[in-house]
Order: sequence, then structure tokens, then C-alpha cells
Amino acid sequence: MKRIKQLLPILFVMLIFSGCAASVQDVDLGQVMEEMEKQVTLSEMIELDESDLTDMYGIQPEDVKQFQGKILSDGLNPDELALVEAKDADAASRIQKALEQRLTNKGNEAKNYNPEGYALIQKCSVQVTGNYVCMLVSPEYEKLNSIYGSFIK
Amino acid sequence: MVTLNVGKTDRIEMDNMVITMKWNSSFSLRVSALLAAACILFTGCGQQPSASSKPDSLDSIASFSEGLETVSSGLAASDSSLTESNPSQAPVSEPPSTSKPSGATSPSSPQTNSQVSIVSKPDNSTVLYGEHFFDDAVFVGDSVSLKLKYYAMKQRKDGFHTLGDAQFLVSGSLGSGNSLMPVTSDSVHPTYQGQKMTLDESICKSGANKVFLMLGMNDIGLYGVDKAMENLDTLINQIRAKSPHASIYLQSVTPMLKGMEKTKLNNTTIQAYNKRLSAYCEAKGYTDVDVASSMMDPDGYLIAEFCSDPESMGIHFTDLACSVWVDTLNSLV
Repeated sequence: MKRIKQLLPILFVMLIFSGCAASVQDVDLGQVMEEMEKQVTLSEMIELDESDLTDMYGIQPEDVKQFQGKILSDGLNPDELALVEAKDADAASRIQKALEQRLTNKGNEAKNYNPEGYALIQKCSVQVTGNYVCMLVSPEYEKLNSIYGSFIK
Repeated sequence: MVTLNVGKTDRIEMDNMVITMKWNSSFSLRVSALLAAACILFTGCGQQPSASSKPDSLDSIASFSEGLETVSSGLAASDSSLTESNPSQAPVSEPPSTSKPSGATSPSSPQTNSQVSIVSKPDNSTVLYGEHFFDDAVFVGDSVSLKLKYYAMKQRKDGFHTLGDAQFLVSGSLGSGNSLMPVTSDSVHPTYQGQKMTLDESICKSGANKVFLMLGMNDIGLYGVDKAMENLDTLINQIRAKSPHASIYLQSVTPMLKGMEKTKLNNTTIQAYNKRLSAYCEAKGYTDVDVASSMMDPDGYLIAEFCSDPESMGIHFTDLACSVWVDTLNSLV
């Protein structure tokens, strides 16, 4: 009984820290996109919304808690931003796969007719933090990623 | 020996780095409370790391200087100098008026911007005659058509019913030839709802009754006109096998900008291809949609103001070019 009482505080600490590791503070992706627009010129980009999720990415709207997206409208350069908060971890996994496929497809398309675009795509990746998934394809990738990282910690 | 008094009855004695602790229940509780308080303070410290490649070290937002590079393209420079439609027009009105530079060839229909007429209905709503013509259409094409897709998307989000509810199966580098190849992780088959599949399959899944194809730019240089036409015929047969009810509309391949022609892909070979396309349509009973004529100057080159990539490929379109393209399509209605 004495030993159990001695172990209780340790167990208590372990429980608390396991809860700590899984949580990401709630983030308004609209604010993230707003900050990106302030820091980087995104004026030529079309704003995407939930109605574009299935057509563009094959993402089911029921998997998504919130979404912010933009795509360059010239049909030539691959610039595209997709910020998604999934409803749960399983949904985040599905969204990650969808965005990774999207990135691969963009690379395949650009390879033959847009070598600069292709090189840019190679530098970009899909990132997952908790239930937040993002794909940032832009010459300003590093800055946008930094902005994103300042919100999603 | 060092003695620390931690409570009335507790004492920690340190002797030669061996610590002997005497516990009692109140001491345990105090320690637990202290640990809990520490945990609450540090909540949020153990974040799950990113599952993919991490970015470079985070810079402070405040450190971004005024000399940020802007994401710019020749498109912005070329479009800004053109007279384009006023996007503040109310929805369900005539499509934006286009200001065509001199030398642009009008569509074959005698009407230009009035291919659709506004009809007033008894319930005081208005409808564009023919505005639903494209609702069951799908546009299939390469990066040239990709621009049309984004143009239509932008227009629709601004409240215009551009090309109705037409869907798009478009992909950069797409041609008749590579569309006949198996779907792989490297292939450029367009996706339908995120899934990559063959064109006959995706067209079938789209449920389209009208299929507008513009393919050839990625075939003529690679295969020559004859083989490109052969591939196109094979593709159309596959499409019709899965979508026998669908009407086929073949759009001519658009011209290249002066100075950007290649050895095998140039306006001469493009025009030869388009001629074969017209003859093919006549033989098969398909609809020949002459987009190319609307895009070329008197010398047969892509109108300079229509070109968004004058310094790279010289084939892609500006918004102005897309509005003319949409006018041409509306002339079918």
C-alpha cells in the first residue's frame, strides 16, 4: 500500500503529459490565410471553398472541419495553397493522402511543359500537425510555411 | 552531511550523495500537488511533431522585410493593360463584354456578345436563353483548357454562369496519345473527384451528354498529324463505347505566338491538324468548333494580347482570350 502511494504521483504525471502531447490549440485557418495574404502577394489566386474540395482533391466535406484554399488562375504555374483542419485523426490521414496525390499529379503535369514549376513542386510537401493538414505550393513556400508554423504549433 | 528540512516530520539527509527520504502521507500529497501545478503550467509543450518534412527554421513574422518577392507572372502584366469586363455586373446578366484587339476574327455566328439573350419569366426572374446548354457538358483538354477551367471557376465565384455547370477533365501535358496509356502514378490522366482514371471512365462517371475535346497540342509535335488524328479517333471510340449517348464536339487547336514555333509544332502543322479535324467531324457527324480562328491574328499567329506566356511557350491564354473562347462556345447555342 505504501509502494502504491509512492507511485501515484508518477502515474499522475504520466497521465497529464500524455494528454499534453496530443493537443494542438484551436486555430482559425481564415486568420492564417489572412496573415499569408498580408505577407505575400496572392492577388492572382482564386479563392477555393468547401464546394471545391471533392472536385479538386477528392476530399469529402464531411471529413473537414474547416478549409482555406487558393489556386493560381493562369493555368500555367502550379501555385496552390490548401489549409485543412480535419474532423479527426482518420480524416486527417485521408486528407493527407489526397493532398499528396494532388501534389504528385501537379508534378507529373508540370514535368513536360513547365520545368520551373516542376522544380518548385519538388521543394514542397504536405504537412500534418495533429488534425491540421496543409499543402503550400508557391515560390514563397518558405515564408508561407513560416507563417503557417507560427499558428499551428 | 547536508540536512534539508522539508516539513515538520520530513527530512532529507544527503550523505555522500545518497539521499534517504522519509515519507509520510502529507508529504506525498504536497509533492503530487506541486507536480500537477507544474503540468498545468506546461500544457501544450509536448506537441506532436509534423509527420512530413519539417520547414526551415521559423523566422519571426516581424522580420519579414518590405523587400518580399511578389508572386508575379507575365499574366499580371499582360492582363492589366487590357480593357476587360467590369466584374461588378449583377449576376444572371449577359457575360462580360470583351474588347477584342484589331485583327481578332469573330466567331462564325453573326452575333458576338449577344449569343445568349435575356428572357424575362413570369415570376420576374430572368434566364439566359441557352445558359443551361453547357450544364451537361464536360470539357476535356490540356493546359490550355486548364486555364479555361480556372477562368470559368473564377467567373462562377463572381456570380456569372459561365459555361453553365460544365465540368472539366483537364490536365497539363494531356494529349490523345498519352490518354490512351495506362493510368500510373506518373501518368497525366485528369482526375475525377480526386481519382485518376482513363478519360472514357471519367467522362462516363461525369454523366456528361456533351463532350468538348481540345487535344493535339501535345500530340502534333510528338506523333505528327496523321498519328495524332489516329490516336484521337481511338480515344473518341473509347469514349463513345462508355458514353454512347454523348455528343462529341471537337475544338480546333489554337495557334502559337509569333516567334515561339517549334520545328514540328508550329502554326503550319497546327492548321494542317485542324483541317484534318474538320474533315473528320464531317465524316463522323461530330460538331466542329472553330476556336482557333477566334484566336489568330491576320498572319495566323496567336493574338499577342491573348498570350499569357509570351516568353516561354507562347500558347497559353489570358482571361481576355478565355472570354473570347467562351463567346465562341456560346455561338453554338
